[in-house]
Amino acid sequence: MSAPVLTEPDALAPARPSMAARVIRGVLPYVLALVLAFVVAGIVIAALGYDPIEAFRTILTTSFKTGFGFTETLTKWVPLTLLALGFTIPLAVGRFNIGGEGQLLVGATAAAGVGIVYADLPSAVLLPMVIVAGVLAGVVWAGIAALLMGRFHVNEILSTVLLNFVSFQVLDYAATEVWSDPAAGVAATQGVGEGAELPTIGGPPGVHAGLLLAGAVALATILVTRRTSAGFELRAAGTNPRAAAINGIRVERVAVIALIVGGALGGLAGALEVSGVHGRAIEGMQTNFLLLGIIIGLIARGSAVWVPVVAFGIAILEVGASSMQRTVGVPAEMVLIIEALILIFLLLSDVIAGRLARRVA
Amino acid sequence: MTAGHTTGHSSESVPGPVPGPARPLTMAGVSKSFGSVHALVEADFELAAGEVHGLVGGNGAGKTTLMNVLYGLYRPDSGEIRVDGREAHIRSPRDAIEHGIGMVHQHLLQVSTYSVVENVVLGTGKDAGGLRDAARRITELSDQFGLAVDPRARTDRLSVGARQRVEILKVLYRGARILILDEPTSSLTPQEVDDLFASLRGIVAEGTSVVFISHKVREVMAICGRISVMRDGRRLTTVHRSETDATGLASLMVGELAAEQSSDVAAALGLAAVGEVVPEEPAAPVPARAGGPARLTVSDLVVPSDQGVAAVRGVDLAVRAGEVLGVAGVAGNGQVELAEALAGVRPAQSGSVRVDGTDLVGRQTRHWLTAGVAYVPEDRHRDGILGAASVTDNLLLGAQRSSAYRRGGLIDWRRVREHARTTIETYSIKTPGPDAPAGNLSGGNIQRLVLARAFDREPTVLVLQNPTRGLDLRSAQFVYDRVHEARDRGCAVVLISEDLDELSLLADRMVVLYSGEVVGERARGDYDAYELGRLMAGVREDA
Repeated sequence: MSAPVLTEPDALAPARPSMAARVIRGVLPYVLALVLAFVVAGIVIAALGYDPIEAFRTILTTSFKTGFGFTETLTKWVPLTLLALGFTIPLAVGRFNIGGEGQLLVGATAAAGVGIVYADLPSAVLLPMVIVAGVLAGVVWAGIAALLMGRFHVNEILSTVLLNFVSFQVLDYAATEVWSDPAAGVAATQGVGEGAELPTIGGPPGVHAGLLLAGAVALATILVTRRTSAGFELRAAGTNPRAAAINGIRVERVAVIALIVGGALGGLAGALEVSGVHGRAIEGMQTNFLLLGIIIGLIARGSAVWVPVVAFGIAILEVGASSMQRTVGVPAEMVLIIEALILIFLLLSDVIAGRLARRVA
Repeated sequence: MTAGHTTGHSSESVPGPVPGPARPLTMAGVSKSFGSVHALVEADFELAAGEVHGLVGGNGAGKTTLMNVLYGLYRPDSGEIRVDGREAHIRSPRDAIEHGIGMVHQHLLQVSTYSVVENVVLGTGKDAGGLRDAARRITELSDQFGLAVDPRARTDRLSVGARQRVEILKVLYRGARILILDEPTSSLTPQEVDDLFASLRGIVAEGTSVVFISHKVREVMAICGRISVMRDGRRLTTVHRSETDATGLASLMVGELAAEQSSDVAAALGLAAVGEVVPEEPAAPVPARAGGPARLTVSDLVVPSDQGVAAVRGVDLAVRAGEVLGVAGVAGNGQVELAEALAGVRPAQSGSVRVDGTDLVGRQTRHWLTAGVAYVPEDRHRDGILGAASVTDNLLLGAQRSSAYRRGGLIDWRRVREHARTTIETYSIKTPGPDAPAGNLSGGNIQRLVLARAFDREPTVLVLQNPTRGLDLRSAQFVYDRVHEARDRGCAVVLISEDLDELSLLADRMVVLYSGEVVGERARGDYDAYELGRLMAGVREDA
C-alpha cells in the first residue's frame, strides 16, 4: 500500500468513518451519477423519437462486438489518457492546464515536420526523433504559459487557452504554406516518411504501438506521484501551499514544472496521433480531446490510477457514439451530453453522499 | 485562572452623567457569544459629542466586537443601543450608516482599481453623473480636515496612509456623526500618525465623535479625551486623560497580570494539578549556558509585512546554544514577520541572520532547514500541516528528500510508516491511525505532530510562536517539556509569545518587541509585569 491520494475532497470527514459510510462515500456517487446520466439521456433520446434502449445497447457494445471497434477504442484511449494526465498533473498543485489541444497541435506539427523533412531516415532513428520533437514542442508551448505564470503571475488558465488559438495558426501555416499537400482534400501536411510511422501491434486491424508508450506514461505517473520525492512535493504543494513552503518546498517552481510536464504529455499525444493514426498533421485533428481530457480528469478526481480507467470508459462511449448515429440515427453529440451529465451528477451526488455518510457515521 | 479580575479600579473613575442634550451614543448591557466563547458580557459604552474616545484592552477583550456590534456586523444576543437618545436597531452596516455611524477597519476594504471618488461614492446609491459633485465635496472635506488625497487617483496607487484617509473621507462624506477607527495607526509611519491626529482634532471640533480602538498607550494618551478600558468582554472602567498618565493606563491594561505575579507562576498556571509531569523550575541562572558562543545572531534585520511596509525594523538578537530567548509583545507588532524571517520563510529586506556563523538571509527555505532551523508556526492549521493528508505524510513533510527515507531513488514508504508509528507513540499523538488525515486531529495533537517533525530534524535553532495558544494544560506542558529538552540539547530557542506567564516560565532572557523594534531587554527574574506591560504598550524606557 502506498500513500492515499491527496486530492480527495473530504478533509473535513469524520475522524472514524464507519465501513458503511466509507462505501457510501466512495462508490455511491459514481453509481448514482452513471444511472442518472443514462436515465436523463434516455428521456431526451425518447423525446427525440428514438429507441433509448437500442441506442444505449449500441453505445455500450460496439467496442466489444468487433475487433475493429475495440481497436478504435484503444486508439482513442491514447490521446484521452495523455491529455487527461496533462490536465490532472498541474491540477495536483491547483493549476489548470486548459491548453491540452494547443500542446497536442504543436506537438503534432513538430512531429509531422520532422517526419517530412527527414523522411528518408530509417525508423530506428526517425521514430524517436519524431516523438521527441512532439514532446519538446509541447514543453515549449506549456513552457510559455509556465514562464508567464512563474515570473509574472499571469493566470495560467488564460495563457493556456489563448495559446490554443495560436496553435491553430501554427498548424495552419505548416499545413498550407510549409508542407502543404494540395492532394489531401483537407487542410493537412504531407504524409510523414515511412520511418516515422509507429508499428502496429496485434490485429488486424491492430493498434499502433503508441498504446504501449501511453500505458507506460500512465504507469510512470502513478509511480512518480506515489513513490518519489517530486511526487510527494507535488501533492504537498497542492494540499497546503503555505505549509509546504514553510517546510522547504518551492511551491511556485513545483507548479511551473507540473505545467511543463502537462505540456509534454499533450505534445506526446500529438506526436502519437501523427505517427500512429493519421501519418500527417491535419487541421481539426484535436477534435474534442481537450474537453474530454478535462472531463476524465475531473471524474477521476485527479487520481493517476483512475484516469486510465475513466479514459477507457469515455473511449467506449465515444466509439459507440458514431455507431449509434449510423444504426439508430441518434446524433453522436448525445454522447457528449451523457459525459457531461455524468460529471454534473457526480459533483451533485458528492454533496448528497457526503450528507448521507455523515448521518450514517 | 482568571477568576478574580474585579480589581479596585472600577470604582475610581466613571464620570457622572453629563447634563444637557442626549448623548450621541449609549450602549448598555450588550452581550455576544460565539459558541462557548463569551466575547461580550453585559458591556456598556457611552460617547459624548465632539470627543475622541479611546477604547483599549488586550487581545480578546472585546473592543472590536463591541464596535462591530455597533456597526451592524454582529447581531448582539442582548443589549440596547441608543443614538441621540432614541433606541436604534442596527442590523447591518447600512442601518449603521443611516444612523450616522461609520467605521474604518484595520484592514482597508476598497476596490483597488477604482478611483478615490468612485470608492467614496460606492454604495451611496448616487449615480455616476454625480461624480464631479462628489469630487468637489471630497476636496472640500479633505481641505477642511487636512486629509490630503487626490479624488481622481487610482486607489491601488496610494500609500496605506492615503487609503486610510480615503476611508475616513468616505465616512465623513456620508455625513457620519460617529466615526469608529479600529487600530488606525497599525500600519502608519510616525509622521502619518501625527497627520491623522491633526485631522481627528479637526473632525471632533465640528461635533463629530470618534471611537479610537488601540492598544498603544502613548497614542491613546496623545489623542483621546476619555479612555475606556475593556477586559473579558466588559468595560472595566473609563478614565479622563487628565486623571491618569501612561504608566497608570498601562497598569490598568495589565493589572490582572500584576495580581498574578505575586503568587507562584507554576501554581498560577495550574500546572502542578495536571499531575503527570511537574515542570522542573530551572534553578535560577544556569551557569554553563551563560558564556557560550552565540548560535543564532540576528543583526539589523528589516522584514516587510504582506503589504510591503517594514514590520520588523532593525532588530538585533543573539541567542547562545542552550538558551531560551523570549520575545514578548502585543500581537501585531511584527511578531509574525519576525518569526517567519527567522525561519527563512519570509524574505528579509535587509540585515542578516547567522546560524553558527553562516548568514542565511536570501537563501531558499530548504537551506534554512538544512542549516538546522526548525519552526513551530503560530497558526498550526494553516501553516503547520497538510490538513487533508495523512499523519504519515505530515511527518515526512520536509524530509522527503532525506536519504533516511529513500531507497533506490524512491520514497521508502515502509520505513516512513515505521517511523510514523514510532513517532506517534513517542509523542503520544492521539490519532485513529497513521493514515488518518492530520486536519482531523485536535489542536494539541496537531502541535505534537508539528513538534515531532521539528525535532526529527535535530534542530540547532528552534523558533516557536505562541506554541501553546488554544492548548489544554497537558498539551501545553508537553510543549514546555520539549522546549526544555531542546535547550538541554544545545539548541538556541527563540520563543515568541503573547503569554507573559509562559515567557516567565521558559525564557532565560526576554526582549520586548514594539512596532517592529526591540524596546527593552530583561534577564530572567529581573523584571516585573508592570514594567513589561509598559514596554509592550509602547511606553519608552525613558518615558
